[in-house]
Amino acid sequence: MSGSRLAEGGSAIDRSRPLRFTFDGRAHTGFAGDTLASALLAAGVSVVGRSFKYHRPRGLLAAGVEEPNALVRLEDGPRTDVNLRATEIELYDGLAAAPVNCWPSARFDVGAINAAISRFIPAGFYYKTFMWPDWRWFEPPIRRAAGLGRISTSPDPDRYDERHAHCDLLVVGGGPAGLAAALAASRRGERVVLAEQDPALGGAALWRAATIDGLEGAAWVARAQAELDAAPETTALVRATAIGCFDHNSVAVLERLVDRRDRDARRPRLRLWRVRARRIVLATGAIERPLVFPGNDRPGVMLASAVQQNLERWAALAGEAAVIFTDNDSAYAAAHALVGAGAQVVALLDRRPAPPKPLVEAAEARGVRVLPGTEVTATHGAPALSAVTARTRDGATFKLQADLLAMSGGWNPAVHLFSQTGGALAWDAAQALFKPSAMVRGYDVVGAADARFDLGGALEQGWRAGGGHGAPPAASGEARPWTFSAIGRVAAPGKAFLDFQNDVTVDDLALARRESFVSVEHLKRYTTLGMAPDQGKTSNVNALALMAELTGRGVAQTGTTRFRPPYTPAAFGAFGGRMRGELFRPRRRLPAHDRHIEAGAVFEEYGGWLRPACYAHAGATPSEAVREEALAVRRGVGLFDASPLGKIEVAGPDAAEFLDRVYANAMSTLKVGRARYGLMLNELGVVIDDGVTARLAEDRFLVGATGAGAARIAAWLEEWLQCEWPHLDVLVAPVTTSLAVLTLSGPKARAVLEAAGVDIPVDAAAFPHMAFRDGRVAGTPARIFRVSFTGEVSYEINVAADRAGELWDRLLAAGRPHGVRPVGIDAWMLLRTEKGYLHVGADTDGGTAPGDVGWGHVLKRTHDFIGRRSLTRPANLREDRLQFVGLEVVGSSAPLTIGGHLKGAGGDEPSDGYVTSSGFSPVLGRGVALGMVRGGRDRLGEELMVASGPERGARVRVTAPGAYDPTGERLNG
Amino acid sequence: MADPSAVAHAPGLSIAESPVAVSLLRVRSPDTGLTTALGDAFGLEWPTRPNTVGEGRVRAAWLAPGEWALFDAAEVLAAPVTAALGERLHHLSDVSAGRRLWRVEGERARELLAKGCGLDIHPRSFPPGSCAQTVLAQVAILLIAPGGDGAFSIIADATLAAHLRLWFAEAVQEFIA
Repeated sequence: MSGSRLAEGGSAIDRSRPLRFTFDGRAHTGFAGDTLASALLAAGVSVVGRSFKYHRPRGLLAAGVEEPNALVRLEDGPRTDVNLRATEIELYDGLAAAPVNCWPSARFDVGAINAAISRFIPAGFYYKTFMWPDWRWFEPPIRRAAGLGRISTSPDPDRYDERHAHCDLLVVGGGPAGLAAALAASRRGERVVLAEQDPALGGAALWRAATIDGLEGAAWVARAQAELDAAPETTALVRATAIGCFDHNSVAVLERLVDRRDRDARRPRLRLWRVRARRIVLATGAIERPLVFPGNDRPGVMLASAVQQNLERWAALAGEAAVIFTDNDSAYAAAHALVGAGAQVVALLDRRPAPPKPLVEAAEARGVRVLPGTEVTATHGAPALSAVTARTRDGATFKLQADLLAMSGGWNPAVHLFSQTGGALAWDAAQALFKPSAMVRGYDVVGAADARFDLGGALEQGWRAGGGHGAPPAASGEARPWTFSAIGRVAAPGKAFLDFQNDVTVDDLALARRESFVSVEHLKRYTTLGMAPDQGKTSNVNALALMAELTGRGVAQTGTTRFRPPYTPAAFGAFGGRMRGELFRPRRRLPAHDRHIEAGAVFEEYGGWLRPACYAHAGATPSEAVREEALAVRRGVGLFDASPLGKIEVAGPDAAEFLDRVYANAMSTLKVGRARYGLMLNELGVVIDDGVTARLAEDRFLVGATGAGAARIAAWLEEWLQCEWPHLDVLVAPVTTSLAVLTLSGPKARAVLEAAGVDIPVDAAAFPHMAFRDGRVAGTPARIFRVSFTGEVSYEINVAADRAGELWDRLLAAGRPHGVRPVGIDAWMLLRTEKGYLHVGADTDGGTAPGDVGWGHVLKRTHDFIGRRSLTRPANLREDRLQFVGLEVVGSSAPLTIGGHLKGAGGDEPSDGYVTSSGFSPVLGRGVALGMVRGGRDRLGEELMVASGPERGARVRVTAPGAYDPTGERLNG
Repeated sequence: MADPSAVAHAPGLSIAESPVAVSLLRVRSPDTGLTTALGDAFGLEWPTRPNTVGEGRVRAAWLAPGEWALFDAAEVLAAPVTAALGERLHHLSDVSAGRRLWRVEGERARELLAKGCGLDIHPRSFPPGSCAQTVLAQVAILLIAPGGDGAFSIIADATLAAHLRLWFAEAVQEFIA
């Protein structure tokens, strides 16, 4: 094959803008408007890649998204992209591309050894290695050989956009049928989106002779485009591929925005449109089918439509001496185009014994020899085509010298998207193709996608589907409608390829048939036919027809497999969009976030919040900082930001009754001005949250939830009110993020609070533990709670969230003489572990009942509450349930690892429990831990063995929870 | 109230962030009599149709049955609300300290929001006087359609303001380029 550029012509290229590029290490030039494929063809490059399995040299087959051979890697470094089809890559200056499946180059490829051993690696070879002799021998080489190309492991430097769009009509495909639909809807003032995958609108009108409304095809397309662009509610996208159709008329469209070079990095590379349309018109065109004959994959064998497209759009002539091989009318146009371009058409072989006379006469009038009833049985040339062997009906064979074989085995409507919607296909025997039958609501399929290959018919269908009234755009001077013949392969010896991308041959299918893989779904998986990135765009129907032949069934009975999104491969970056790095998902920041940064906070995420784990300072490791912070609370005073604590107001005459039902313990007995700790259960009696609830007034409570549970518990309360107890006169109002909570904790907490300025008495007598007061702290209106998660005297100061920073500054300033330390959540957790306070979600899991954490007394309540009945199930009353206990390491001061399993002497269970909370207590000078132990409350004092984890073999003693200040005296000071 | 600060600017687009005075009013079983009384108290036709906004002496946005966002401080609203609702159970909470407001305006405003919000905000579907609780860039927001001021109003939780700010700054890059 010796492709070249014609001296003139090529509607897509701009000859005033030459572009340099390299392919497979060699330099070439092309023109602006070229695809990489057309530029390679024009540059005379015949081998563009190697096949997947046998590493056979391959040339360009197609001119569009269906191209199976020319898979390339584009660029090096972080912008490397693999498995791109050369037919879809628009040329730019400096482009560097290489084929993906060969080493060292496509011209000389070491992997071609596979071709020599091909008889030992038949279809299903992979599966057979599982069975005999030993998969492990085969796995390493198979894994190495698998995959196409190597991706970059560096972060992707490109931006990706996403865009939601809503419209009355989405048109997929900007050929004549699609344009007619878009024009019709646009003129009615509808909101229209049109998505065309090519860089230009026009579809087949870009390369097939057409006259529409008296205009030459390209002129009519330009006029239509101008009209659509001017319509305020219409968006016509090019380089935009509809890659998937989903439920409820939702379509994903991937738009390619820019070349990779010479561009502003602020602009996104790809944009993923999520289009929701009232109606969808699929005008996706059709894809030409290869013919199946031995040697049909030799470089120089191309689809006739691709030969013609390359000539018309890019003035790229695929060969000097061409043979045309067809079983239908459509390829005759390629003969005319080649003759028009000055190429020699050696012969036109038509498999049909009697092709339509007018076609034959028209071809012969241009000097093309038409040989009816003749077929190609072999191709010759290395690596590219130099001759073909043909066979007449009476069996005579002869050789024709040719460097191009343009073939057409009929057409397949591009029904991929239609199939994704759930639409059914029907076999059209007259045209030898599958086309849409049962239509899906909201969808129309028009034009070649509906097997309408006549321009006038396609225009009318599109116009009607777009809601057009009156006369549709009219085609004139059209050739007679195409006729087709029955589908079938050429029966002759030699490797005849069905699936070029996955290297599946006629023999592979015959093997599958012999081994009884005859269902289309089995056939597909056994031979891997249609499972390559192209999803069998050029191969599926040929394979189905062959299987129909081999099994003696019809094509219709043989059936089809379904197509899946994406229609063409899509980069992962497009699906990530902006959701990467910091924007991966939203994380809440504390109202005083900047103050924590100033204080040296090391942030971590807890329950969706970014919170200080600890405050780093020079000369201390994070674990030292945690110990210092914990000691400050025990010996002096710490300042902790507890703002994420869930805060939910519950108001109304029935508020107390409501809370009595949602808490396992009573809240109605709480006095105004006091607070109480409570446990919430779900219907299964499982502990789901805990917190301190305060009674603000007779008919008003402030429910405290855990930080992570704030939103969940508010929704939980609403659900019970709205769905189960609508008669209760109660309102629920979450106010979590409106309030900041700064907590002073430690023996000097009161002194600091007083130093900061507080206008209410805060001494123990006037303001006892588990009470709250409203007042002002440092001039700011505040609600102060005396509750404690550390076991030390604590004041939880609630202020408006926007006052948090100011209050933080004032409390730190007032506390400085007392040695106040900001305390992070790690120290906070250590302090409560020392005290043996429960942490729901850390110490409990999805099976923990209140009795397991020492709250068995709730069953004595007379009032009903959520989960109560479940607590009386026998399983909930067993003595050997996992129970919350303290754990003390025997003979060591090192802390235990959370998650380590524990085992007592005797018993059949593999585990008697596990460690749930742990840390090194600086005040006690040893490790402290909490855990869940089977029947633990009756095993106090018993020694268990650590059965897993780093401390495996260590002995631990079961204790009551609470290693520090077990009587809780410090709390009331 | 502090001056709004610009988050991002691009040709045909301006995004400004500011504090917002907003209170949530919850009323148990509101009936026509009560909503009329509320409307009279604030000089507006009270929004009883889902996802609509009423404007009078206060801007009121329908959020859910019996739930409205009122754009003023609770201490200003409390007296007229109590007068209108009498004994009917209601709850007024000032959430100003926990919310932020973004105003997004300009000819590209819709295009920008469509990058992170799945709602159809074309004037044919989301005309002036509309509001919706929806999601922008994974953040729950209250979105109010442009009225006379020509700007979309977005109200979101202050704890997620940094995320939205970052998202806006990132999303406008294409328009600046």
